[in-house]
Amino acid sequence: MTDLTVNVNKVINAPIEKVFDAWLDPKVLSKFMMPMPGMAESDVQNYAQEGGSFTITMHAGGAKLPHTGRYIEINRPDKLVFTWASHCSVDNSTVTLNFTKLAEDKTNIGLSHIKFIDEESRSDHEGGWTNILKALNEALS
Amino acid sequence: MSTFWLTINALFDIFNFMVEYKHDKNLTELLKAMSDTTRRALLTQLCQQGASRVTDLAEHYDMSLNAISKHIKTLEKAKLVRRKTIGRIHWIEANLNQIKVVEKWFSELKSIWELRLDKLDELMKGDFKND
Repeated sequence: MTDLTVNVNKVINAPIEKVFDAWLDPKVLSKFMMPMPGMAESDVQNYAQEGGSFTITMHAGGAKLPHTGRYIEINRPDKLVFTWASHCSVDNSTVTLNFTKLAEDKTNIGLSHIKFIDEESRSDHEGGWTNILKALNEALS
Repeated sequence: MSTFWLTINALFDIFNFMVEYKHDKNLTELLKAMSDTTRRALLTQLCQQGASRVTDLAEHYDMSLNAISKHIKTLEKAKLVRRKTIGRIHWIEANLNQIKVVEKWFSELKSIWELRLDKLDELMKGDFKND
């Protein structure tokens, strides 16, 4: 198994609790979880408890791009971990957020998005294509 | 199969949006005009020192006035500089709006997560104004 990681650090000018809560509040999530800057607000449904799941439906032009996941760890206001799957990804991934209080109105977010490249899911995917091609071949012959 | 086509359609929509959003053709022209060392030096000079005469600009380069004029015309075509004729003198000035187009594109070369965090910071700031 191979992992691919994206690490991002960002200082947000707001108190730590407020920054943490933004990640569980559907109204705030809908405003910053977009597929690209300048696009329409997303639709968010979530059950903000460990084990609870969420759906973020992003909009790109006329297309709906659902993203789903499950909360693995909710430790207010220090840490948030959730699984993350997009409509077109075959691999599993998790997003870990570490919140650090820098000052009363300054919070650092350390974000780490890890994709688990799973050989099994890859071969399943390839299997899917093999079956489609096999079916096509049968239909045409 | 239908999921596959949904995905393709979604990607196609994103692609269309990107092209529209980023005025891609404009950006191509801009980057082409900026791909030459002399033109970048001219642009730097014009941005930092303000409007200049073609003859004054040419003095800084070991090049003929004609060659410099050609470079300025390329920058003009990409709308990176504007020409103003006052009397008989041609003044060249940088068009900072066009430069912002390139700056904006560079600022978007980030992970989507970084862009989302930028947006979150913006939201939190706006919220404080309302408080």
